[in-house]
Amino acid sequence: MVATVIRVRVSLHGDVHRYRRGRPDPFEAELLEGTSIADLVREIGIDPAMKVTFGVNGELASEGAVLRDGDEVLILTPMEGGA
Amino acid sequence: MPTGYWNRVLHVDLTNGTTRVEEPGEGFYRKHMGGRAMIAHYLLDETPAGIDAFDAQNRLIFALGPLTGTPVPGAGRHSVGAKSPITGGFGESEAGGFWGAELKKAGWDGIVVKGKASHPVYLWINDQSVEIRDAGHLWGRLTDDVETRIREDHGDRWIRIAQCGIAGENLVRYACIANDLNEIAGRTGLGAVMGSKNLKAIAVRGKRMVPMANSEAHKETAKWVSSTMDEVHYNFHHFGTGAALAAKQMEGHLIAFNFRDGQWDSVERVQKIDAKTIASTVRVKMDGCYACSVRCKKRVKIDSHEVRPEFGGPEYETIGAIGTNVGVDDLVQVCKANQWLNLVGMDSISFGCTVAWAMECFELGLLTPEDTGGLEFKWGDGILLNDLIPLVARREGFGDVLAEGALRAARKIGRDTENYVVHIKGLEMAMHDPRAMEAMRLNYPVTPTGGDHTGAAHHRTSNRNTVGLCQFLQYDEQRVARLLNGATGWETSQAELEEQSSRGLTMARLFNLREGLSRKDDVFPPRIHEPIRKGPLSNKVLTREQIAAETEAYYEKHGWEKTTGIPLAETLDSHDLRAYAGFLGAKIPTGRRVLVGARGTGPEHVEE
Repeated sequence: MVATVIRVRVSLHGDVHRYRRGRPDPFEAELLEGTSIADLVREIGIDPAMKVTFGVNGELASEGAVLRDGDEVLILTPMEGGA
Repeated sequence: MPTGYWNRVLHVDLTNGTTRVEEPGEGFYRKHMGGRAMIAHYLLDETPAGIDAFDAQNRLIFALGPLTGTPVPGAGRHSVGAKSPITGGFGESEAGGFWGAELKKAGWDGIVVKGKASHPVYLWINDQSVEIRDAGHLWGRLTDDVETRIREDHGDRWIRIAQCGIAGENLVRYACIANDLNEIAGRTGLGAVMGSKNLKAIAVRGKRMVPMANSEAHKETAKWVSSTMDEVHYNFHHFGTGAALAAKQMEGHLIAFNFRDGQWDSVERVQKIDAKTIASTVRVKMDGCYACSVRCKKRVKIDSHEVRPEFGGPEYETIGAIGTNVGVDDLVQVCKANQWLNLVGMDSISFGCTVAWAMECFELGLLTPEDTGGLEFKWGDGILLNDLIPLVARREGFGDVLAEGALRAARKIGRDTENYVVHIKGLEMAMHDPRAMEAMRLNYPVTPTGGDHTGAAHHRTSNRNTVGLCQFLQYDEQRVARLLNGATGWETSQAELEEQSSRGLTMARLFNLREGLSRKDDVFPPRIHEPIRKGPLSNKVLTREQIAAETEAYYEKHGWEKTTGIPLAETLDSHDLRAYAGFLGAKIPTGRRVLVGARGTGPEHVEE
């Protein structure tokens, strides 16, 4: 059986963007079907201790959420301020 | 005398046109240190109770910290204070940039201004030389023009200028004090106090090195910041503030439609105005404050709309206040409004919140074109937003009503519009929803300055504002103590720093009590006790009972009487504050102060 490949669009915001420093962002990722956000986070190399928020297609998502072909994935470190 | 200070505070009497130098001595600095406590000292000591904020007897105080102007990232901060024209209580705001460091390098620890000049003036401080100069040629001019003219007057392009803008001249209650055109002491209306004194600007040139006991901690810290930039300060360094608006949208606490909705209709719309989009479209560079390698200040340029980089770019609070909270998703209009607010000297948070209040009331039919002189207040109208700025700054037409701030405007209009004002103590609330953020829930009601995110009701932020350090630098408290001790030669412990923070908060509390504010003012407005209308937090309700219990716990933590928030006799004695509390007479409560461990001080937050 041949594993199906899905394509998702990923964008990193805030401190977590450092894992894409100097490379295009947003970017397309080719993943195996069944890949979860946690798998994607590991793939990118994000420090598991980092406090991050995930979104899929504009909605809050959990780390265990399984990605589907065409998903828009946001990975963010919330931190705001300044007037 | 400790190093880190000059033992020189400049006193200016604008009524008589005189200046004098106070040499307060080490005891003063050890006790008040800088920032908040220094401001509170002069307000409590020198102003009569109950005066109007625009009374000539009000003081306008520029207070540096012991670290201001020392060579370490984050040390470009200074505090400004006065009795606030918007809260009627303790007014305080902080700014970065270069002005505070320049004042320190000129050989001063602070400036206390009293009186009112008979005509517009500006203060010219050239190292130890001080002159009160005519400002007739500056009055009524925009901030960029004022800066250029003063520098031309003296033939020195490195002069640093803090000024009140035309909004301050016209006593707009949320006028700010701008320095370097884009660094803003924004909250609590201090620009209006400056304008009320006919003081257009304070121009400073300083050429001295700040004396320090030991520069090792500074050198090591500066090196640490530079060498760990990508690990520790990446986001601020590359994007500044406002890079993660999408998180707020998805989590359901985006400041949207006068704190009503918690979300816009899509994350894509929100991302049209976030810092990441700014970086890839209109941003031309990042810039920094004095001695800071983090360089978190974005500068934007849009030639087609004459948006220029010297006015910086919209920071998170501004993106929230004149973007998400009023439904404006047009980045050009947001950048343009940011520039105009800096040109006229108005706080973006209070302005944006006042407009948001008007938009919601207009939608509900509580505010009509008859009230507004025909203006249609509709969500998302960025052109209206920009059109309103000069009207408010000049107090023309309905702008005169909005210039009073949302609470006073609502009281003038009536018809239950006050229910839609989102404020604490009359100050419009900053762009952090307390229904979602614990740190802000615990901060807002008890912050002495009102709805202020930098008002610092807790130790970390309060200490930063006291010593003159930026909140954004990810220094732990041990490092802050090391820097302080390196500058001053003291051996201040972390516990002493926390005691100092509590002392400053107690002094600000005393001032508020003296001016008639009390427990009844330590509350959220009705909007915050409603559930957020949309998104994942829409079933969450913040009850008044919860806030009351948390407020009482906060009072106890600081040694204030649990039900009234009046400092206990024991607290006044332990902080040596009896001399400021005479107005309380027999009302000073007795009872035991609950001692709180050095680290048992409640949650802090990373947001500024």
